[in-house]
Amino acid sequence: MEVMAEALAYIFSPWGVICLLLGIGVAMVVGPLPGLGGTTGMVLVLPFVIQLPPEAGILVFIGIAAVLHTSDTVTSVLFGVPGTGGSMATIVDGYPMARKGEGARALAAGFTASLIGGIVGAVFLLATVPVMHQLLQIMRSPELLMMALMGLTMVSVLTKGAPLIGLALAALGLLMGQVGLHWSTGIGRWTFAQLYFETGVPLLPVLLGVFGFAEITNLVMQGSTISVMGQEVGKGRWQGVKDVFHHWWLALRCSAIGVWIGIIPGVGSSIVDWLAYGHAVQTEKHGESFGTGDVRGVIAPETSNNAKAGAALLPTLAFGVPGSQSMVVMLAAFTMMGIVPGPRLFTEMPHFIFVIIWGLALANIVGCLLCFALTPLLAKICKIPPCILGPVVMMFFFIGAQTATTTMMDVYLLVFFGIFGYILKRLEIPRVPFAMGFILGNIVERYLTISDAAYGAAWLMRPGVIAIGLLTIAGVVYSTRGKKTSKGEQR
Amino acid sequence: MNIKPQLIVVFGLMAVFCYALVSSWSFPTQARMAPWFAGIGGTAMCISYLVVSLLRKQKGSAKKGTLEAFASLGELRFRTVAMWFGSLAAVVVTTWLIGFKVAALLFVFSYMKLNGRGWFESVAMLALLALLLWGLFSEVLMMSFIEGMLPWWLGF
Repeated sequence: MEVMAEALAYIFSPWGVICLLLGIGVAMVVGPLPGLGGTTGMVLVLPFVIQLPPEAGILVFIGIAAVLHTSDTVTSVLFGVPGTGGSMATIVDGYPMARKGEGARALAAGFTASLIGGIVGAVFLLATVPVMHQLLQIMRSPELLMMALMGLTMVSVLTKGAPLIGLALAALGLLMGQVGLHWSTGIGRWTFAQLYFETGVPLLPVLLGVFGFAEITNLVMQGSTISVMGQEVGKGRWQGVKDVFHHWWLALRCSAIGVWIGIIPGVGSSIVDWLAYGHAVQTEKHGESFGTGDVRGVIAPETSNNAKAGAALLPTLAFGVPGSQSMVVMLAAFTMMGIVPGPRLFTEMPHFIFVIIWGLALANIVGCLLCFALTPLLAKICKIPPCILGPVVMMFFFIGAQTATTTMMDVYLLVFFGIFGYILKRLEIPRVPFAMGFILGNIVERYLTISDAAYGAAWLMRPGVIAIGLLTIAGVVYSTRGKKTSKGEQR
Repeated sequence: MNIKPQLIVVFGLMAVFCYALVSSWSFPTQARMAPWFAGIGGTAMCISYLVVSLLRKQKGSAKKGTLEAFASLGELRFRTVAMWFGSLAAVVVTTWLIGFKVAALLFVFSYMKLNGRGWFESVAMLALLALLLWGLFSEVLMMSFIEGMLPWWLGF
């Protein structure tokens, strides 16, 4: 108790407050800007952070990690572009809400859900350190591969449109993720003798093209603002907050999913929001309204991705196993500050651990309040004419795309995938499975190769693999049956 | 024409999967495992879609999802389409030629003016974006942008 109080007092000291606010400020800027994710934010402050005492330095990182998935809701809801990888599922219902003139409600629901998820993640971090080691022992490469495939299948089945084309596009994404030098044999695959492709197709130009370019082009073509309805866009904030408390059980369940996925290194950040979304579609009443602007479709992914942020700290802190790219930067910062992550950290530096936990909880509260206060202003973006919004936002997409390699190829890729995304949008073919396949391409290949090398074909018979496989099949069957039933009811 | 454009997409996808499967034949076993996994899986999905499409009864004369519906792009005003895609082509060419920062400002300013926005509004937006590009992105975030070939040709 004494250590907990000491840690809390440290956070409220001038240094603690400044560092936490700095992290939150960075997350508020980089979160909504596609292309500048948490890793960019952490790298940006890294030279400054390593000069600070460890407790102060970690608060900057915690501020970024905690608030990033709160602020990235803005672009997902308003522009239909994922601010970061973990906010892709928010688009499915958040963007239609903005189009219906409920942008403020969607944003407020997203921020409140993020707060709940963040708090649950922090509490979990406090409570479950002892069982963590055993849990991570169960998850080997075959199980991780199955988790990635489960995420991919759920995405394809759950997004609106033809699920079979969705799955085929997911396969196309997987193939694209394999372009470049093979990680273990070093052979070049589909590089077309271009140095640019040897390190693979960069993620950002593709994602910004498929989502951002396509959405903005669609807006400009229609000549309409984001909100096509006549309502006052800034209204509905409190309704969004009420929605989260009305669906509190869903929020808690999705937080638990976020926590569970967050502790698994490697796959969490890309699929967590989809697994939560899938869970919501399968378990909630009137599932047919998902995808048309249902607030539950915002609450589910937003609680899970913030809960994941806290849980993802566990493998990094307890075992030195970074769960994501941004956790790698955090691990690097730990090393530079002379902190060795591992189980001993919890016994030798409990003060440090409690600073992290308190910091996580407070950053979520402050971040949510700040975002909530800015909601009416942000929602006004929905009413900006497309002839102003179009070129300005497109300029940000060009900037984001260039962060890949700063060559003209980035620009060409953005335009190429933008047109591809626009065609898919016009044809009402889901684009998300393609993006997910592309993101998970490397992960799937790596785990597939390791599983095959380590277990041969026997990896398919592992109990964990069978269990996750059955769960995936059950999910697909349940979703498909649910869709058919709801269509029948509608008739 | 009652051709579903989805079918064209599916055939396009099948062509890509077939190319991937054939070209990955020469890769070492480890390097072709994942391409085969994705290629075979993707082809199976495409074939399943084609079979399902053939078996499914054609429902009424629903225009939605047909090539005709897709061609309704033609209903969009030609000026809007030409101006948007023309501007995007111009920004790509000018980025290659004179660099991104100037190209981006020219793009935003000219697009706003072409759409009849006022001088004050356009210039104010130009100033704000210039501040963001040179101030926030270049100086604070230390981001670099494409420089363009013209300065290089001129020996700068």
